[in-house]
Order: sequence, then structure tokens, then C-alpha cells
Amino acid sequence: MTPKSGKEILPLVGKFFALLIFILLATWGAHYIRDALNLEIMPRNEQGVHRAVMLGTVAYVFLLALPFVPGAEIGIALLTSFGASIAPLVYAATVVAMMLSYVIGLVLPTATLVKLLMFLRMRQAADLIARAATLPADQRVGMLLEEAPPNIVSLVLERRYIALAIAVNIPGNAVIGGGGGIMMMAGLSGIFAPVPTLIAILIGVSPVPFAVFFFGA
Amino acid sequence: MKAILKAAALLIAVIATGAATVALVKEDMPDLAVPDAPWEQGTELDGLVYYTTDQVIESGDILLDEFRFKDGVFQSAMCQIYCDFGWSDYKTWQDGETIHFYAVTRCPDAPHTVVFMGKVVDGKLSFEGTWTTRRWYWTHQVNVIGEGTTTPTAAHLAES
Repeated sequence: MTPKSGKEILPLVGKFFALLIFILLATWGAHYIRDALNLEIMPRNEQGVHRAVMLGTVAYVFLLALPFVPGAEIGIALLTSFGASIAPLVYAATVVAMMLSYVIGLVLPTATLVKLLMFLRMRQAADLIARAATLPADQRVGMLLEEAPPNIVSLVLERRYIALAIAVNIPGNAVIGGGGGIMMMAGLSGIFAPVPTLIAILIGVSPVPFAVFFFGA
Repeated sequence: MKAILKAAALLIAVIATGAATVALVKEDMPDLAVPDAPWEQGTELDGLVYYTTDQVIESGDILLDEFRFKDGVFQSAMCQIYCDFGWSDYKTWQDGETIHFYAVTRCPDAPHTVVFMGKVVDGKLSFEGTWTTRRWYWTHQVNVIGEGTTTPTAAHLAES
């Protein structure tokens, strides 16, 4: 490996500082929105807040469980609004959503699943499942990685639970179906056993809620 | 059919474990601690209504309330409006001219517990309190302080 020259390092440093500034601005923005919404829980509004939290949690579970639906934003909104105290609920809801998606993939016949997604007007998700249905079960997870280098595909298949934990947590995974799509495909593939899958998800989705719970305000 | 039952059982187990974990992990906040003292069923303040001006410590919000005492029971007008708390026993003990009191009130329809503790000296009531809500997924607490007399302020009259 050749050492990087100053010209090569400079853009990297620039990107690093740009990312740092973005994180700082995002944090400031989140606090600003929170203050602007005046989400102080008071006797007069606690019942309303409770109903909104319950409704938001149910919506979060169902949206997150659906392929290609950006449900994670609801969880982030809950964490931004209520901080550390809501983190355990968001964590549990995320695990439930992922397992719901996995179970749907595990149990429902692909034809039914495609019909259901078409009924929900989720054409992209239905196409994904329909394409997966034409493949042998053990090749369905690999289908998500069609564009990935071969060594990544083999790593995913060999260390599938670690790969699953990482995949559901990677920002931008919406491109390949999001957490819901990945888990549905994991269920469809039949190569993921329920208990190790649950353990992988418990670990995989933990970083953000745990960070907010332990370090958040 | 067997697979569906297995899947349903797995989901139920995940949801139940998740809910139990949330309930265990959530941080509890104790209600306002009432110190040991020769507390007795209150009667000294019966028949009085105190018009209080309260401040929420966390937010700085100012609230207007009425503390009503009658026949050994107490009611906060604000608690009554927000959650129909009804009347609750109040306890007192007397230290010279000072009447110490406290009351623990609970909302019958929601998990709110409010503890008021204070004293009345020369007709002026001052108090501190906690309003704690214990939902299965979090515990939330608001701390309040306030004072008042049996004469309503202009703000109380304007509000009524």
C-alpha cells in the first residue's frame, strides 16, 4: 500500500469536516424543531401526547415492516421529540417491526404476498418479491446483492446473521428494500432461523436507541 | 397452519418480551417525599379555598390553581379539570402557628399521581409538588412550586 499524498488526503479531511458540520447542524436543527414545537409534557396535554406516542408507535411498526417504506423517520422523530425516555419504546418497536416483516416473509406464500403488496399499491415491493419467487429459497438473499462484489455476497451468505444485523442498520438500505424488505427477504429465503435472527436484530438495531438512551438528554 | 401458529407465537413472544423489557428498563421517578412527622387526618384547613399561583420548575410555566379543603379532604381545581381527580384525604401537623399539610391525589382514569406538600403561615399557603405519570413505556414528572392566599388575585378572577 502506497502512502497517500497531501493532495489525496485533503479531500478526505474536507469530507470529514463537512460530515462533522452536517452532524452539528442536524443536532442543532433537531433541538430547534423540538423547542419550536414546545413539546413540554404538561398535565393539560399528557393524555394527548400519550395517544400520539401510541399511534406513532403503531404506525412506526407497520411502516417499518413494509419494504421500501421509509418508516425509520417516525422513530427518529420520536427520539428527537422525547429524547432518552422514549428510546426503550422505539428500540422495542423497531425489533417488533423487523420480526413482523421476517415472519410475514417466513409464513405467507409469495403469491399471496405479491397480491397483498399490489393491493397496498406497493408495486416496487411486489416486484421485488415476485422476482425472488422465481429463485430457489437460498438464493433470495443474494438477489438483494446483485450489484455487490462477489466477495461481499459470499461474506453475506457465510456470516449471514452478522450481515443481516449490519444490513438493517446501514443508512441508505432503502435502495434494496429498507429494513422491512431485507427482513421479508430473510424470511422468504428460509435460511434464517427465528431465534438467531431475533438475536441478530436485537443487536443490529440497537446502536441509535442505545446511544440516545445512554448519552441523550 | 402449523407454520402460521408458530409465526404468531414468535411474534407474540417478541411483542411481550419487548413490552416487558421497556417496562423494566424505563427509569422510575419517585413522588415527592413526605418527611416523617406527627401527621394526622387534616381538619384545620376545612372550609378554606386558597388561590395559588404555581410555577412549573422544568418549563417556567405559570399556572393558576385553587386548593379546596373541606371535611378532611382536598382538591386541586387544576387536577380536577385535567383528569377528574376528585377529592383526596389530606394530612396535617401543627408546629406553633404553622400548619403543615400534604395530600396524595390520583387520577382514576390515567396513571397520574400528584403529591402536594406545603404549609400555611399567617394565612399564606406555600407548597411544592410533583405530578408523576407512570405509563408502561416511560415515567414522566413535573415539579411545581407555588403560593397563595384565600383572596383571589386579579388573574384568578379574570380566569374564572
